[in-house]
Amino acid sequence: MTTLHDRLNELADDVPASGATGDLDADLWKRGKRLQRRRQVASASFAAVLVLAVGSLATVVVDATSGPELPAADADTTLALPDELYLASPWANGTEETGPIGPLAALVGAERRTFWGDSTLGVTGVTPTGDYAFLDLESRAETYDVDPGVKLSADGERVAYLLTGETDEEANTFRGDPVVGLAVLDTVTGTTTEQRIPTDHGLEVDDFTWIGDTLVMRYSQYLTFEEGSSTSTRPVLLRWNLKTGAADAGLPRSSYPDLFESAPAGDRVVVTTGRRTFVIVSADGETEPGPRLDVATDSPVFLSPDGRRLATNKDPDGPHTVSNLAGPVVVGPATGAGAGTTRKVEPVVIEQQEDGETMTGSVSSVSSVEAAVVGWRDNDHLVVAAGDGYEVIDVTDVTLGFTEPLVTLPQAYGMQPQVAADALQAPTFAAAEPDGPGDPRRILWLGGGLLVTLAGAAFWRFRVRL
Amino acid sequence: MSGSEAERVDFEEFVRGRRRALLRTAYLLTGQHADAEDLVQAALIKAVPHWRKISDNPEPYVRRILARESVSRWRRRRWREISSDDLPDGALQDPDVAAREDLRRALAGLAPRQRAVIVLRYFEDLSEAETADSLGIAVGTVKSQTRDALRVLRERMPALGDRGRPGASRVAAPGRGGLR
Repeated sequence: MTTLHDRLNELADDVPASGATGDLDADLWKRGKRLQRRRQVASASFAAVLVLAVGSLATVVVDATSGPELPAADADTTLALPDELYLASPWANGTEETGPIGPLAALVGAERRTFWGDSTLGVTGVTPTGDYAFLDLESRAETYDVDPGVKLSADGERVAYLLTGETDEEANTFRGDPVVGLAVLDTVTGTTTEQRIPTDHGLEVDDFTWIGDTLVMRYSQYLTFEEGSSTSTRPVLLRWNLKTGAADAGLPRSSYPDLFESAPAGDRVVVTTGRRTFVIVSADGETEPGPRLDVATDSPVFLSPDGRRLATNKDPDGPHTVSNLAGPVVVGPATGAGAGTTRKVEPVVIEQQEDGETMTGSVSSVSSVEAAVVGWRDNDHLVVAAGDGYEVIDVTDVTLGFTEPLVTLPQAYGMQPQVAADALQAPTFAAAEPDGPGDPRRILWLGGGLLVTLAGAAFWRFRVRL
Repeated sequence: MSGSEAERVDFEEFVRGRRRALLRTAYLLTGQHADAEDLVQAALIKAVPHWRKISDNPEPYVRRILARESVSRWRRRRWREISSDDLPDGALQDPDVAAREDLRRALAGLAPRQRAVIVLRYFEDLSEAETADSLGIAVGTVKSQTRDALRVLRERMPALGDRGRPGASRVAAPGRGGLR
């Protein structure tokens, strides 16, 4: 029986017997060696190209995912005011990476994301050069009690925030992290100072305010850890002088007027105490009454740097109402015979239309929201929040009231942007959008793509060699 | 004698000793004498860069190159040869010559990989696993390619299936004896 094997053998017998092949065999060896050399050159070239490609790719990725170098902190840095604030990249560096970044012109809330996709409400510090870094605020309490729970000092060198930590007994966490005190990040040295208040279940904080170098916080103690827990009936105050380190907890509430609606005035604050009255409060609680206003107000009263002018927002619907809407801006002398006598300022904005025409109108007619006084740029120019930023009004010509844009603000994210009070009086500069680092997860995507490419290339090399 | 020179001598010795055996396999893979010669030369040239590693037992490696090269050459050149080495009619009257020519034509009608599988399995007597390894394909592919190739061979060479057991649809596996 003939098998396929036999038949194939018979067919293979058609191959003629080989003759002398000496030269041919030597030629095969030479050609094989030439092939080997060609392959070595090709492999070396391939490796060089690969190294070049990987190097270029890595450079691109590193450039795309690392933030800009921030200048080192310097206490002598003078404040400057960016003409626009931005939302930083969610992957911008934190101060743990950058180190202290120096005095801040502003704080801006922004989304902060991690490599693993977690998203939190972060706080970015904006330097006088327009750089951004997330503030790594150690043991920061995230709570509904105070909005915002972060406050920038007037000089931009300190950031105060609510401190969380261990309570003596079970903590009341129904409004967020239990608050156990205050902490302050020194933006120049990078150090954090804490002021803890002994507490069984945590503190309910009403508010806290900078008065020069001093922080004053009004708080109560939670009585239990349960939801809806009442607090001690009498709120008390913490006074903490950051310069001396002296701290007094449990001060009677009457030690200071209600600081909720205060406006910075040098190393003091101005507090509206009645519908037509205000006082100037020093860090130790001493008060100096201001002149009685001829209009009612529910808003803070701002004194010009020389103390000779005051500005506020008139209560739009007069006294004895519950409305707290900001009414028209009023300006008047703070000293002298006519002190407290105000005049209405109608900030006028000029808007450039798409067709090149300009439109002029009052802030209220353009934005339907009254301008709100936020401070003084100098003795003659008032800063108001209007539209999507801050505008400056020349108060020497209150009949005209034209405004100049000062700072364009980003959409609030978690907290309203805060501009350091001193920065309002600093020179401005054109601020470009920060070069935020890109999504670091691109490294994974690119790395994966590179691996696939390398595997494909290796497979191809293996395949062609056989 | 330098190491490289010794390798060269070793290589040439191998070529002299095994050229014909390799040509026989190559001829079955290509169906053409000239192509078989080219294929063997190409395989030997490709073996040279690896000679130091394979010199102890070079033949399996060279045959592996032979098998894969026969498939990849066809892919590259997209030729599928129809025999031009037709024998004169007189020669075909010899039943043995005619049977070999039938087989050659039947092999030429197979896809290159099917032909390689048949040659490795039924001429080289490799197992399915060895055949898969030589061609760089899965064992399952070897099985399916063998099955398909045998079916084509039976269709083109009815005598292949009729001899031994009339009407039988199977062909003997290597080493199992007759053509069934």
